Amino acid sequence: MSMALVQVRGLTKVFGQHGTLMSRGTPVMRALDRIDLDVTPNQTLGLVGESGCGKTTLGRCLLRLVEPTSGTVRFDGVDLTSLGKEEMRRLRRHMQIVMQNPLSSLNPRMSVFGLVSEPLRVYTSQRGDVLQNRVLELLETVGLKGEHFHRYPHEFSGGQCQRIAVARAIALNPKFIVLDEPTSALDVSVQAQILNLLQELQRDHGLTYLFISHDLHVVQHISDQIAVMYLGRIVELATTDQIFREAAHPYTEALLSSTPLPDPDASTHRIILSGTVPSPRNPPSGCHFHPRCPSAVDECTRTQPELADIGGGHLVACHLATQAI
Amino acid sequence: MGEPLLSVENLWVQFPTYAGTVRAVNGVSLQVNHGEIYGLVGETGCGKTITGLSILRLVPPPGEIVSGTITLEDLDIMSMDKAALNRIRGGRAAMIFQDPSASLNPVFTIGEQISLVIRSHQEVGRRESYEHVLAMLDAVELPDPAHVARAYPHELSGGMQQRVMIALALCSNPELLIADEPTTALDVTIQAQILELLARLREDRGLAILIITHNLGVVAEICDRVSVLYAGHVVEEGSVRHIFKSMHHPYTRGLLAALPHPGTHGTILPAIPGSVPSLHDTYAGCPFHQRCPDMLDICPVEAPQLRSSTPDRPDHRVACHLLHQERME
Repeated sequence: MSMALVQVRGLTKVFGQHGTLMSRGTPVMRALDRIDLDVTPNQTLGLVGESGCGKTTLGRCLLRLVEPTSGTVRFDGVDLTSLGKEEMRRLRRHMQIVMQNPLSSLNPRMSVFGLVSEPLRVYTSQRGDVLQNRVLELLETVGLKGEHFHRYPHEFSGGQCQRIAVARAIALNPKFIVLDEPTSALDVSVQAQILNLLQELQRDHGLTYLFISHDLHVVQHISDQIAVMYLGRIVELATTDQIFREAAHPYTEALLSSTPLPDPDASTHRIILSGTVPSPRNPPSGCHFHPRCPSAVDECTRTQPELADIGGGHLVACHLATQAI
Repeated sequence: MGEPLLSVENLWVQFPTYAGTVRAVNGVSLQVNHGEIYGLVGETGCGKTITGLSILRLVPPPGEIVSGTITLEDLDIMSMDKAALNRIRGGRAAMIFQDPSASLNPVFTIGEQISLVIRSHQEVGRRESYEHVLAMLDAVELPDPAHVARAYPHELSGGMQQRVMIALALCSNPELLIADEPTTALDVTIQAQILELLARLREDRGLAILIITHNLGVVAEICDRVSVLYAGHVVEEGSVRHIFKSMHHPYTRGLLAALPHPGTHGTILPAIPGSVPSLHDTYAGCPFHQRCPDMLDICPVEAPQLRSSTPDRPDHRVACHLLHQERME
């Protein structure tokens, strides 16, 4: 296996550690707990989990948009957490992010030209005609037309806005893009257009993606590898095939079986989890999943399972799965 | 089968705005039978929510029901006065919405809110209603009803809030529940719980449910029959089992094909090109013709009518010229 483009080791993010006057006494929130992750170049790593599991925080920590509490993030061999502000700024052009809601992530007072040319104006010396031509070229790449040049975000549909956000993200030819729920706000028919666009860009520009989503079907469609998160921990990490054929963690199994398939004859064997995701401020002892786990044993309430290889690079953090081998 | 519980005939809803008239619903008809789960599916702006709101005459101004008839069993909803409507709303027909936290009042406890609904439909005192409150919370399978009754909405999770909304809707034993995107704001594991609850309520109480959703998976999972809406028109309707097996309308087919699912990994999704037509525009012909891969000469000229897809499936109806033409050949 080639070297990882992004290598994450022991990444932890704790919110509320230093406590304000108002929050003294409330427990800290461990949003990310010792995350280890490798993102392979030219591939897509899917990150899936329910709301509050820390998937967005992880995406932002990788770009240092949120400062990690401890652990390291290596990008192309460079440890980002040790970099100063200026060094970080210079590296940022190689890593970009596309957010969930394009209408709130695009400045409503900037025209399409302003939005897409902004990264170029900040990082390059392109001006005038050169800049204009580059922006036109970018718009074309993402499927927009030159006539859209001077329009503002509110004049576009959600799908078109997301295309503008993608054009901004690829403007500097980055190596790595974090896609944080890029299609969750879109309708099915438009979602398919954006997913196709993202795959096409990856092929043509050799991009590496971290694709964050709560929708397992969308994640499996676009990802080479999938990491499943629950309460700030990665509970399963494997290739897309392994996850769908032989999911080993009970949470992954439950996620898979509770995602409704558009087929009325699909197997009705459904694992319905009881209860809801506990608060990350006060996670359960041992394995965080044990209060909802249909097959929890005594040990699960006491010790927290670590990610272990159950064969073929398939990593699972579950006592039962590791005992089985 | 008998008379349908709810019957909507040729419903037209329009919103006069400064920028012109928005034609939200254009001649929608549907029938929901007793104890049936009926799906209304479509993308943003297809008119599914407005159709649902119209049934209880809740269309927000300036929108208005231009024409159409709505009957709930023997009652003509369109000719009712305000007092009669208020007895129906939350009485024989109740509605729940997408975002439960926006529907619940943040400054009253759950118990107070449910009690208020019970007392507005039944002649009971505050104290007696408390027993009802606990029974309702128990009916929607909330653990520790007494505790939930004392809680404020913000103390509950999204899934629990949606259960409370369902409890509110069930207070006066309705025959029809209109559920507008009841699981869209919830995580999948919680969505599975709520869908299971709705299915059980239908089993136990014979409740008819009209589910409004954009999610074809939810439709396949829980609905008996479905109408597919596009730009305010019903383009295909029929039994879920049959429709998912043989879709006829190019839009329905395109919608299903565009959905990523196990097996599409690494492939290019057949996306539907373009986007939904603006509801401001008046267009002739089929509303889908601009995006349709199989457009015929007649499609931009004449709007297709809903017709049975095959003679042996009279209830599976499709509005598409293509189908009609194939049959003539």
